[in-house]
Parts: sequence; structure tokens; C-alpha cells
Amino acid sequence: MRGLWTILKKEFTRFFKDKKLWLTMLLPGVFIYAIYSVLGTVLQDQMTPSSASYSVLTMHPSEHMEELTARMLAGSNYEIEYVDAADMDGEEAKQLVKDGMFEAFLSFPENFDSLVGEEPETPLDVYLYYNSGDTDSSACYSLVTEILASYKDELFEPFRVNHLTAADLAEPTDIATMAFSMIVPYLLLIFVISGAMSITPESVAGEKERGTIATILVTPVRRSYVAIGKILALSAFSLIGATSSFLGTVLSLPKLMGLPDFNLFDLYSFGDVFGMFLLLLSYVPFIVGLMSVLSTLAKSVKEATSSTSVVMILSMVCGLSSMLGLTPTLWMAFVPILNVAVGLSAILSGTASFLFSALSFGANIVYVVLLVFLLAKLFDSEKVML
Amino acid sequence: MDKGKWLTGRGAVCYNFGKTSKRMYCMEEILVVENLKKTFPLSAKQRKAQKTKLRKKVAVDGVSFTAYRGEIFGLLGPNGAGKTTTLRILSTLIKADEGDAFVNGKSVRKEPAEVRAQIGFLTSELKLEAFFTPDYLFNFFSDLHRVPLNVREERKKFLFEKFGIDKYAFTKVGDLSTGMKQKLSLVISIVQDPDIIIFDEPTNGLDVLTARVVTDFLLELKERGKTIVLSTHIFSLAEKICDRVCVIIDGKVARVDTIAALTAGQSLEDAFFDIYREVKGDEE
Repeated sequence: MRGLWTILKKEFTRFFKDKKLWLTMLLPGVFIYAIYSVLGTVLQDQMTPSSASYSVLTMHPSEHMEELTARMLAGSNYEIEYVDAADMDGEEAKQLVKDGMFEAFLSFPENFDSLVGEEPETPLDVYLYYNSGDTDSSACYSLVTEILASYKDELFEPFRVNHLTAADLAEPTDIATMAFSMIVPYLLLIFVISGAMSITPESVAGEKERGTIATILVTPVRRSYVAIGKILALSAFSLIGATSSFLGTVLSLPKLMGLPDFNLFDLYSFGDVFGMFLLLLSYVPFIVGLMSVLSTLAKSVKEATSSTSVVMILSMVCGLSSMLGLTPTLWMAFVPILNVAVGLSAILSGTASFLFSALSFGANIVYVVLLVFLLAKLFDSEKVML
Repeated sequence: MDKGKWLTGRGAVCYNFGKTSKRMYCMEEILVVENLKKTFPLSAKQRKAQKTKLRKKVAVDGVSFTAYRGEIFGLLGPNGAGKTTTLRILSTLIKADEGDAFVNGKSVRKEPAEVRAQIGFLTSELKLEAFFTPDYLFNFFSDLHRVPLNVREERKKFLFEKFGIDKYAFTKVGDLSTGMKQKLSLVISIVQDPDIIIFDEPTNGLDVLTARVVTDFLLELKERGKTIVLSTHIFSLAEKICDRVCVIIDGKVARVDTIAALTAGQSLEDAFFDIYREVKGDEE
């Protein structure tokens, strides 16, 4: 037992004397708390937006429905505008909802308000169409359904909604687009990080640990070239890894969603794919540069791996923005990692703007240049390198 | 002429070595070190460990010496004396706080890139990457030193045969013996055939056979007119291969002289302890 106690004591002493080990053990808890708290707040906001304005295309509009809507939404920050679809047929109206021009299409029978007042023998049919591939459309559908339910209650149910009708106008491709825009950016961000994490600490901190960096630094090669060379090579490896993972994900997702005949290029143009590639092209060297700087500051591969895991956590947090359907705003283009997550999500959901993508790409390239400059400075620092 | 007496000229020095007193060499100054000073900040942890309140440790304090073309110059001193710091300053890995050193007339402070082109540097702390082969590493360091392809191949053949690496040229470093790895480290530090070779503890951790190969090679380099500056705390090595030594104690130069003048008939180890006592006085 004395031997056991000695071993235990040694292990505990090691743990309590190593501040870095403490941090490694405690930081995940702090991060999890922070991530889940932020995530919870954002999710709550997404699911119950504090304000929203919807346009509902209406065939044979009902005055009472409009009055009821105004009454029910009074005091709230929601607004529903009913637009008369007088000159259209039903199919045209449905197409406009599919195209995202309107959040929903509500079709009443002709003279609905007077017919319901006459207490008809058979219930009147009301149809409400929406697009589940669009989050606004889904939210609008829930709200209008609620208002229709109140209308029915007031009139002792003389009509029914969507009787024997599929109300969801979303095509399988709409659902795929939504799924892609939510999942793929997050996965891509993580794949790149995982690839970079497996090689960067070893390549930079490992060289320091082995002493080989000193042999390179005493050659006539400029230190900025050593820095650029490392970042470019590591970026290329990470990009290859990310591309492989990207292809695996994109090719398997349709099968996962039960769309085996789905063709990616039916949905996305060459420009979309090129835009995504450009964003990745700026993201990968940024991540590698950031990890290289952290690895250079570390004394060993082990320490470098711990410090670079912070980048992984940051990417996970930013990657979640795509799942939450965060709308790109200009300031986000200047926030590294987040700009790629939001930018990729926008491209995949078909809402991307050229300005946002270009600004994100440009900002990331500027950050990469700064990181290379910093890395070259660190390579010059004897305190850091030796 | 007395042993160890200098006959100085302009940029060249004629000197009478004790061991070969009948011969006199005229030598060109190739490395001039002037009043180098270097301090390192001490962390709270280091201050506690070293039981000092000082926030800085003086590693090198006014070190000056000159090395000549075609000689083996040794820095001799106990651990922590400042030998490695001096060599790191000379190889441009770290910068001196004060003073300067000139390699073939090029300042290590102002022209580090030019200095790097003329030196080979090897540290005993070097561990080569396990998954590369000797052939690849030789080519890699040759490229960094911009060695022309034809020269590279010729030099590789010569050095690999010299050290018996040729049989393992395409074996991964991880599969080589410790001795072979050390020999390879030595080889890749001189791929560009530099005029000055700086070795920090060249035989540290080597078995006797490998150490012998290394010391013989250093003597051969010297015969070819190369200047070798090495640090060591192994007296027998210094006694055997160094023409002159600089004894460093506590970051300061205690003596610079030929082995013969320094030992004056006694062993280098005894001579060193005399110098050590002289410097430290009643401290020890």
C-alpha cells in the first residue's frame, strides 16, 4: 500500500504543480459553459424571433381573417401583410412561394366570409401553402395556422384547413439546400481544423523541440521565407485533407437525406462552387498561420497541441452560426472564421452576395499576411526560438 | 623565439606553436570577437531556483578573442560558463547586447545573412527528423545553402563515403544508429564546405569510435585550411585537437593561449584548475 500511496502522491504533485495541466483540465468546462450559453440564447432568438414581417399571398381574401390577424398580432412585433392574388391562378401563386417571393399562399373559397356565416352543411376548404426549405416561410406558416385555428374556434369549425392536401411546397432540392447550408459549412470548418491540427504543431513546435530549426535558421535563407514556406506547405496539405472530407460529405449527404438521384450541380452553379473554394482558399492559410504562430510560441509539441485546440473550439462556435441560419451582415466579413462560416452558408442557401464573399476573402488574405509577418518576427526572436 | 609569442602583422599573425617549435605559421585573422556581452532575463521561477534576486543573468561578459585561418580554436569551461551562448552569437542565432564579432570581416550584428553563408554550425542538441533519409537531408540543406547541383553530388559522395553513410543513404534517419545519426548531423552542417565551422560540444554523447571519426575529421578539415571553433568541457579533446583555447569562466575570458603555453608541462586539466582557482579566489 505504501508503494501505491507514493505513486498516487507523485501523480497528484505533478498535476497540482503544472499550471498548464490545470488549464487543460478546466478550460473545456469553461468553454462548454460559454458555448452552450451563447448557443441557447441564439437558438432561442432564432426560434422565437422578437420581430418579423411576413407577406402572405391570398386568393379570395377574407376580411374577417385580416381583422382577426390585426387583433391577434396587436402589441406584438409580428406583422402579416395579405396580398391579393386576384390576377393569378393557384399554381402561379404556389411558384411565388417556392421562389421565396412570399412566405405563404392562403386560398379561401370565393365569398368565404359570407359563406361561413351561413353555417354550411359541409365544411369549407381553406388551403395554406408554405416552403419548409425556407425558415421564414415555416415561421409564417405556424403563425397563420394559429390565426386560422382561432377563426375556426370563433365559428364552431365551419371550415377545415388543408384537407387531404400537402401544404408543403418545398422540393427535395429546397430541403437539400437548407441541409447543405446548415451542415456543410460547420463540417468544412472542423475538417480543415482537424487536418491542420494533425500537422502544424509537429512541423513547427516539433522542429523547435528537435533542434532542427536552429540548423535551418543558420542557413542564408531569409526567415520570412521559412515562415511562408511552412504556411504554404501546411496549407496545401490541410486543403487536400479538407477537399477530401468535403467531397465525402457532399457525396454522402444526399444519400443520408434519402435523395439518391440528387446531383449537386443541379443545385449549385460553377460560380457557387468557385466562390466556396475561394473562401476556403483564404480560410485554410489563416488557420494554418494562426496555428503556426501558436505552435511557435509553444515549447513542445504537446504544448502546441493544447494551445491550438483553442482554435478548434473557436471554429466550432463560428461553425454553429451556419446551423442557426445567421444572416450575413457587412461587419461579419471582417471577423475571421465567422466570415467563412456565414459566407459558405449563404452560398449554399443561395443568398450569397458578391460583396460579402469578396470582403471576407480580402480580409482573410490580409490576416494571413499579418500572420506570416508575425511568424517571421517570431522566428527572429531568440527568446521564442531557442 | 619563445613559444607562444605573437608576431603581429596587418590582418595576419605569425605564431610559433609549442608542439612544432621548429615551424612557424603565418595566419590570417578569420574570426574576430570583440567584447561580446549577453544577458538573459530570469523568470521568478528561475530566480527562486538560482537563489538570486537579480532579474537578469549575465551569460557572456566582455568576451574577446581572435581565431585564425586553419586552426582549431576551443572554448573551454565548465557548464554554464557561456560557451554555448558565445557560439550561438557567432552563428547569428542570438544577438549580443553589446560588442560584435566579425567573420571574414562581416559583422554578425549588421550582416547576419552574409555571416550565415560562411559558417557551418552544429549543436549536440540536434535531432534529425526520423522519416527523412540522409540523401534527402543532404540535398535539402544543400539547397538552403545554394550549393550547385554538380558540387552537391560530388560533395555528398565524398562525405558519405568518408563517414560510412553511403550504405545508409536511403535509409530513414529513424532506423539509423545513434552514432550514424551524429555523423549525419555533422555532415549536413558542412554541406556548403564553409570556411568556419562552429561546433557546440562536437563529441558529446558519442561512443569512442564515432568520437574518433569526428575528431580525425576535424583535424583533416584543419589541414584543408578550415577554421574550427568548438566548445567543450572535455579536456582530453581540447588537448588533442585544439591549437589554442579560450578558457571561459562565469561568462568572462580567463585566458586565451596555445595548449603548450597554457599547460606549461602539466596536464590541461591541472592547468585549468589553476586558472579556475585564480579567477574564483576564495569564492569556491
